[in-house]
Amino acid sequence: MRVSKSLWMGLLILFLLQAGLQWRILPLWSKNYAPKQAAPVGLSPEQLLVAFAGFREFLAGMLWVRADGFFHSGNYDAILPMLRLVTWLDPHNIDVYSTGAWHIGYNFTDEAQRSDRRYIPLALKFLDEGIENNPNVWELYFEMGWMYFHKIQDPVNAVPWLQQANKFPDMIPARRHTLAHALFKAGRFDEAIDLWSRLVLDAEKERHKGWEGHNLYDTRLKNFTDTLLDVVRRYGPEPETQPPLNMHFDATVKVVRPRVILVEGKLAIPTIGARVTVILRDKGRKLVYSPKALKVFTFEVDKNLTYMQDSLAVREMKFRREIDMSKDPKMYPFKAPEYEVEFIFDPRYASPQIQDRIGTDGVGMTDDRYLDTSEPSARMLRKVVTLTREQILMIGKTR
Amino acid sequence: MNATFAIAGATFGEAVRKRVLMVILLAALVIILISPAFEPFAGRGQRTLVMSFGFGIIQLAGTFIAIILCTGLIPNEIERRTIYTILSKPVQRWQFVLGKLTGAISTLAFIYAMMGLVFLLVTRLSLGSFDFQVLKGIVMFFLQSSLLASVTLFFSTFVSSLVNYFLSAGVFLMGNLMSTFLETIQRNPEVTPLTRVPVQILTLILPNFANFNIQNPIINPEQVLTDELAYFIQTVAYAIVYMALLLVASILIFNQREM
Repeated sequence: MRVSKSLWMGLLILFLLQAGLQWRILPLWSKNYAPKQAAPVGLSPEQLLVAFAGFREFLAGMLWVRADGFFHSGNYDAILPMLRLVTWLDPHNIDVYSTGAWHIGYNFTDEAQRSDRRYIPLALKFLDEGIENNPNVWELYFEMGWMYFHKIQDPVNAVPWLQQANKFPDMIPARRHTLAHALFKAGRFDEAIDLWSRLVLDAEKERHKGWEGHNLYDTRLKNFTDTLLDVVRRYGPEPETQPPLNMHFDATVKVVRPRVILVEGKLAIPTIGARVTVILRDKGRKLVYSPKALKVFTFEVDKNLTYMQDSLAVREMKFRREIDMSKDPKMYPFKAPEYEVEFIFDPRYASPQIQDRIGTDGVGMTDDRYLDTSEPSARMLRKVVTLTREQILMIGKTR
Repeated sequence: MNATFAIAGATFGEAVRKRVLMVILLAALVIILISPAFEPFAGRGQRTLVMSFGFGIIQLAGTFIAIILCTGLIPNEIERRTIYTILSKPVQRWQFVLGKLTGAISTLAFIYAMMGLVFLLVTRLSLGSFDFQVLKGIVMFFLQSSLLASVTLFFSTFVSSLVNYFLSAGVFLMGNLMSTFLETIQRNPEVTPLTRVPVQILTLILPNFANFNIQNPIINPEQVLTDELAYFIQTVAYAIVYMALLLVASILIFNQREM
């Protein structure tokens, strides 16, 4: 009887001890090992069983391979739910986050290969989730910065993400250059030069380590000197960007068939390689390019929103293109009563020979009517035309 | 104590002679060995495939072996009436239960050592170098299976083998899901304390098998873990304490059982 009493007492003590241990383990488990999203929707019972039988990462890998197959067969829509499943099963698979965000942000296009930019906030949110799950990995900060730098063409917002990525010592050396380029495009010339000089000094230490070390050093040195020369030429004592060049910018829109517009205009830039961005969107509906734009991650875009963006080449100081939005009603639903067609010339992404004349920040250009100085990092040219739904859907009039 | 070791030795000997267990072990070893053959399907995720497949097979085999091994440990002795011979000798009932559990855990240790060695070899062949990080995962899965063996042994003191299969498998599944379930509802602001608190209590009561699933950072080594050593120590302590708890409970029930 006494033995039994001792056993019961021991049982109670052991029970409390295990509960105490479990209480301490849970927060650490949650931080290090817990799945990061809500339970999956779309896994079959067999797949769920496989996942819970210890094959989570294996199943994730197989699904990712399947998603790759869908990509190569052009079945892009099928990839989205797979991304969700794969990141649920393995939230630490960096490749899925980086490639998945690229896929969401870049690969949904219309017949003319114009990106469906409504997906970009989703791509940013997807990367944001990846960063939240993997805060100690540089790749996803870089991917976020790259998405701003390259896809959105917003070097100002690219800089903080790239700076975050550059803090990691294990970052691929060549990837560090992107921050310097972004700083330069954001008008932070001193910081860009400073970074290039530090990168050159770093590369000098590795110079003796084979051709890769040599190559890295040469690349950085060239970039450093080019940047210095660009700044001196464009902003030095006798800048080539002065006096400002009058761009005589103008643009018109003509509806030639239902949902087909002809855009044309002029830009008095005396060299080739300039591009004008044209955006057609629901009036007052600018896309917010921020991971915070969405409260929760979703693959659904606003199906009622029309947003078209294209880039027009300027030749002999003129640009012209017929933009057909009639073949992609899902991407261009035209549900709003009014639309803005915005024409932008942004010197930050112009080619170097153009920047030599007007500056990276547009300091060497002016315009009688459409000069926009609201963006601190660069002067731009901007013209907005308004169209009604009736005008776009019917054979229209010249505006 | 000699009696305990004698029973443990006999249990181990009997287990390694069981064909079904050895067939599972052999199948697991063969599957681990051929897992690099799937590499062409892995794309860039070669490491993920080899590691996750290996860990998955090891965990699955360990789970099956633990349940199959332990469900019959006590009922079989009663059925075959060999228990009367054993208990008629100077052997206490607690020694019998402890001996059975020790034998079962030794068998699991042997099986995990075999699978661990083969897995290590496969990482060398497939990834170019021995990845000793996998040993952490193997140790954790061994503890998981040992805890499951304790649960099964506990049930075997008062239910039949057939019921025990389902009961143990159910507890294993629940114990694997509770933390994830708790984590999910804690992240959901709409869940009321009325739902959350019972789940929290259940998480503290049931054996938590999810604690031992640490393979993800081994498969994705770029992760930086918080207090990894503390987690490892606490989880090992948790396994030992919970196994002791189940052992005491098994002894208590077995002591009161009429034979």
